Amino acid sequence: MPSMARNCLVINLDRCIGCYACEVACKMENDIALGERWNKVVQVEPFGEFPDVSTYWLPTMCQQCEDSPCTHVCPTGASYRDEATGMVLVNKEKCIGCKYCMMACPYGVRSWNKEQRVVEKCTLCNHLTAAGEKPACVKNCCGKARFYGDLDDPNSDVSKELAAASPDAIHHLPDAGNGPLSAYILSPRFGEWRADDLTQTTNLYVTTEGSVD
Amino acid sequence: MANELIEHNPLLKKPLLTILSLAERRAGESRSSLEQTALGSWDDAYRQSPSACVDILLRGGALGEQVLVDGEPYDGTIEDMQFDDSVSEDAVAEERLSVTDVGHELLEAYAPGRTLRALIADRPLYRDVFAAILDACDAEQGATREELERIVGDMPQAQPNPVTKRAAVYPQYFIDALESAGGIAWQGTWRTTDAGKAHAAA
Amino acid sequence: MATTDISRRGFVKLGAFAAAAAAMSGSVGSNLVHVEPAVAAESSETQKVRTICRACLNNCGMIAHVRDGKVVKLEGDPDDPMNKGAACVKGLAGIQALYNPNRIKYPMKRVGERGSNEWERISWEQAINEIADVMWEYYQKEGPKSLVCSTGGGGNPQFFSPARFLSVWGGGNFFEPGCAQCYLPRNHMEFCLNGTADTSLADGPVTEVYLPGILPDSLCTPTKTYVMWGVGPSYHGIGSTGRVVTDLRNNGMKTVVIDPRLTPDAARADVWLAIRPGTDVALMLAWMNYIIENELWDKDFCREWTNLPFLVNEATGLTYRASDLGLGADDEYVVWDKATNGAKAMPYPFDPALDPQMFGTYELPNGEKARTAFQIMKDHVAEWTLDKAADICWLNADDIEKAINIYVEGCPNAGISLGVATDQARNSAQAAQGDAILDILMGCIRQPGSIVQDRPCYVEPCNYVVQPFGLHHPDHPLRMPEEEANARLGYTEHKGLGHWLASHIPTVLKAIETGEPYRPRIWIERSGNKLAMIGNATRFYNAMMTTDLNVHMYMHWTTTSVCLADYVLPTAEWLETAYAQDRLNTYAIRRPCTQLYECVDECMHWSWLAAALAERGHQRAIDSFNPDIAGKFYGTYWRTYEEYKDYVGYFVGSFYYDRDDWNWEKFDAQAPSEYQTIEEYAAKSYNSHLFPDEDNPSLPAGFHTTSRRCEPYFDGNILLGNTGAVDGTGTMEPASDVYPKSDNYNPLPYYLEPFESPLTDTEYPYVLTQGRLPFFHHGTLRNTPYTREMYPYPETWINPETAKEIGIENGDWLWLESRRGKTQGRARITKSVAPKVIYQERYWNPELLDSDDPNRAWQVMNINLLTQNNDECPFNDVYGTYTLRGITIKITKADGAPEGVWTEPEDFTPWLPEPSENTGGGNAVYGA
Repeated sequence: MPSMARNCLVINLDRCIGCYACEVACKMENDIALGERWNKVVQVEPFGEFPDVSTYWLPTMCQQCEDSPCTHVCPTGASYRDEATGMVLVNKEKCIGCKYCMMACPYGVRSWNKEQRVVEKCTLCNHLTAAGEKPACVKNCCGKARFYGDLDDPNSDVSKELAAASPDAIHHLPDAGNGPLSAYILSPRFGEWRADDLTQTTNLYVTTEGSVD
Repeated sequence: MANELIEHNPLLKKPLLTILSLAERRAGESRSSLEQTALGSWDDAYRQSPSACVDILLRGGALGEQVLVDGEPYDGTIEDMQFDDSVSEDAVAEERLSVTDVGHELLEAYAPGRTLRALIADRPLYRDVFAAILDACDAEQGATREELERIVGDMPQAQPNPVTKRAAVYPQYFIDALESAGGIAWQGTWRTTDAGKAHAAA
Repeated sequence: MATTDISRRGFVKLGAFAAAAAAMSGSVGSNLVHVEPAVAAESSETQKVRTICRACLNNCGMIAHVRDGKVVKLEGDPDDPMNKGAACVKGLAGIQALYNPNRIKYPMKRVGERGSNEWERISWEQAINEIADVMWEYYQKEGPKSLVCSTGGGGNPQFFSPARFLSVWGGGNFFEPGCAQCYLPRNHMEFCLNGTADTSLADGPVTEVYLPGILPDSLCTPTKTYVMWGVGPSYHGIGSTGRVVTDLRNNGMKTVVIDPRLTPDAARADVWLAIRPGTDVALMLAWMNYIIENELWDKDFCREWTNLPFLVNEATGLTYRASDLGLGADDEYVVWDKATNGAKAMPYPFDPALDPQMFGTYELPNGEKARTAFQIMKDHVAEWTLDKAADICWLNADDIEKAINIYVEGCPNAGISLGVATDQARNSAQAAQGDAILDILMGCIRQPGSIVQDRPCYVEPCNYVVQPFGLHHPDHPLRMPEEEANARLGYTEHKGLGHWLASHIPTVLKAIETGEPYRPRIWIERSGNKLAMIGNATRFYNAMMTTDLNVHMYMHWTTTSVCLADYVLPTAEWLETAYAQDRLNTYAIRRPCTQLYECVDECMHWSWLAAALAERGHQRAIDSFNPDIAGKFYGTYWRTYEEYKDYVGYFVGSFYYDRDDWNWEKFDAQAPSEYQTIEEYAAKSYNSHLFPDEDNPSLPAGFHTTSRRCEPYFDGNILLGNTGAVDGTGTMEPASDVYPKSDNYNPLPYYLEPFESPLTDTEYPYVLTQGRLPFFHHGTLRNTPYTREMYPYPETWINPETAKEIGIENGDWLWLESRRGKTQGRARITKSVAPKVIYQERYWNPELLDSDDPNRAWQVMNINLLTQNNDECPFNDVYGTYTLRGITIKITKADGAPEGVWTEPEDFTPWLPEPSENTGGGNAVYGA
């Protein structure tokens, strides 16, 4: 493997205040159609015995898998990994709208652009990051809970945030061998990581009620 | 409730009642000629055109409309008629307005003699205050608001009464009530209306 | 005629907040620091404009990207000291609000009867003149009482615009649906007790929490415990308040959250007390009792800097003055001295020769028995055990004890913020008293890390640039005449309203309904949708349908415009307006980024109406354009927007930067900038009661109260009720011209069970509360596509136990019904609320405005059809607060969603933004 950057988002759920600003910042920045989200925030429904309950808000977006199923199943190479940045991206020119990648994605974070009949997803705002800016969701985050950068660069925001976190507070969405890069920090002080229980269906995060139980 | 038409549009009370009473006096007159007549004495302060007021009264059921085509009753509205291929292009159409039962009730409900009687009968405590205002406004120059405030302000009925826990009632209450009831009218100063004079005389 | 060319210095002398203002007089222009240019060219095409948001009250720093005269992108300003780059859903929705197809674009006049929803476009000139004609006629016919003006949230509200206009008009009534139901009780009462500031995190005075990370660590004591009592920073001023609380919490600050609802802040609290809505004062009394019984209170502070040791006249409830007992002067109080075992005069600030008893009952030289104020408080709260409070508040006594101890451990570098929740129930004033008392008992006043700090808005009661004439100057010729002020509806019964120059909404409605004591005939309203925000909306609708003339000023069509208004005037979105706001030690600027159609800042609506009245001969309106009469402090009314902007520049320059020569251009050239260093800003509060008094430097400055001590036993409340002196400085002689007089308001807080109580109500067994969501500010943003997509209908939160009891499931459509009406919501079964507690937020449905029955837009999913503002449900004594939270309801399953409401994302397509040209707005086509 050539050494490629491992750019991704790291989200500190201890700091996430469920305000949904990242969701709308993403939509505004990327002009995403109504009904589609590249970064959907879901509330993990409070669990435990009332009033001793826990809850947290879980932003879900492309996890930048190291062994990404979406790029493997894409028949045209539209879903690809960018050589320079290591980012998993979609080349809409090549997309034929077969939606294989949407079925392959274990996290249901790919969107169907009805108008253009192509698949889309989080681009890590590469139009901004290429120019040295941060992704819109990171910039505007009201809890300062979102971090962007290269996991291989110890000075990146993501590396520093993970280094500062207790190892038992670092979590990933369930890994079926695809190796999601994105990490979530949730300390026991604020709640018990529950994502493992949430993997029963493909599109589990996209529910009509905006929350999952 | 037909009264809602007036109660919910107090600024349109005068123009609506003007149209309605005109329609009552000139039963069977065409809409256009009625509107023309109304326009002759139309006040700028009415805000809405005679035609808009006729529409309001039609929507509110206070006026009824009969379309005549070449003098014969037509079963439908003027819009229906315009799209009706069976009516010849050069037919002469006319809208005739009539005051409905609802309209008659409205005119009766807002007849100044009646509303004024009701106001004063309902509030025996304030009878002297109303009488004083009707009297003051009957002066040659009418009465200014300030004059009425002075007259009413000194009357015991308007004072707060800690014993009965009655709050102060301001002169504006009496002025407003008498105007709404048709006893006084604003013409640069407050003037007693004919109905008000009749009431005072009785 | 006396001129009122009032200088800033003149204000300092006159104001009730002299010490606060004096503290800032040390700031001079030399503190200006280098800042990034306001407008930096990103490329040849896009400009980045530094501005401040107004999607809520927080004024977060924003950067607007403007290309070809159009705003194309918004993002948080990373250099703003409070939001540090954060931008929330509401702020980011600014573009979709600005270019919303539902904008009111031109002045419009209704054609036909009210409710017919037929309109014609008219010119600004016609609109202003026709409205002024009616106003002038009514002014002559019936006098100034004929007018009622109101305001509310959304856009760029100049809160005091209506009160300013009424001061020129010469009388009449002003109301705002918040006020007695939002912030006034805290803003007024907490200041009365602690002589310092209120504790509202959402409204600005709580600045201490922002200092860590800005103030050098060596000078900074971060807050150790923060009690958020009905406060949800994650869901109100999100970019500033949500961000800063997160920062502190993650850096070790302990938190207690008291809230019926599991908000994000409740979820992360060390203790969450899921209190029964409407019972907060019961809990406060138990906290007070626990702190007194366990001797946890701050001994030195209570002894030296509060009125707790003062002896109280049992007959009047007032603290004795030494002169009452022949012991000393009339500005001295009376204590019982331990050493001599006798009553002694206590001079200001404190006689170290005296050792006052804090508790006890003593026989005075005149034979009367008297208790200390602290003893009265102790006796008053003695019944309030933790168990009793737990029982009433539906809490666990151990959790309450744990919460109190976490608070106490952090004191005095700790404090309580009281949120809007308690302002929305009949116990509003008492909750504000309770909150203030707790922080006073614990000495959490003006200490590093404490919440109560002496950095108040310089222009009380709120930091607004546009002020009612004479607000701070009783002799100002354009101040509302005293007799007219006393005639404000509901004011004499609820005198706390006077602090905001406001009237009592239910009494205004009653006056419209009955004509007594006089009938308001003209209603001019500037806000979003009163029908969605006012309690018991049906009553409000029925009353407002009978006024003679209704004028609505707003940016977007709402049911107020469609169902009630006769004239609709287009108002500017925040991205179109000019304003100024302090952000800690800096002053920020709102720069107009564009101006669309014929929309214009509301301050011009009022100015133009004043100008039109002046033309018709209204003398006070004429005077309001005369600089010799209006004075520089208040400024004249403005004929053009440029004049207004220059006034804003002058105001900021003279008040904050000690420059008398600023106009907009000078302000704009350097804003945002520091007017003080952060060190000065921090230090001006800590122990500032010990600073030398400005007038008499040999004495300490003390607190801004009558006794110059904190007054947890607030006997000024009795005087307020008698005379209406809003700062408690009145006398026992009832004002002769004010009747009915109020009851004597109680110096101590007391608990009132909600009028409709789930403890006794068998017909309506559940208790309803409301609370903020991150998507909307009050009634706003129900017509912006992304916000509606995220929250398309109001969720009805129901605990699983209760859901089972009623037999409903997640996603069911429901009917919620109270004694005043019924409306719908959609079930979310969740442990975020306690059994029997129901949560639903205010809502309305702009998509129904164009339907056959536009009234359904405010009726189908609006919990304010259920809330109280009727005379049968008692109001708070001091403020007249009606009850919005803590009413009882019943719930049944509905067949489905209300017909015609939009719930699917693509339904909102018609509201996607339609970017349009910068026309210069209404200013370009009209000038008075």
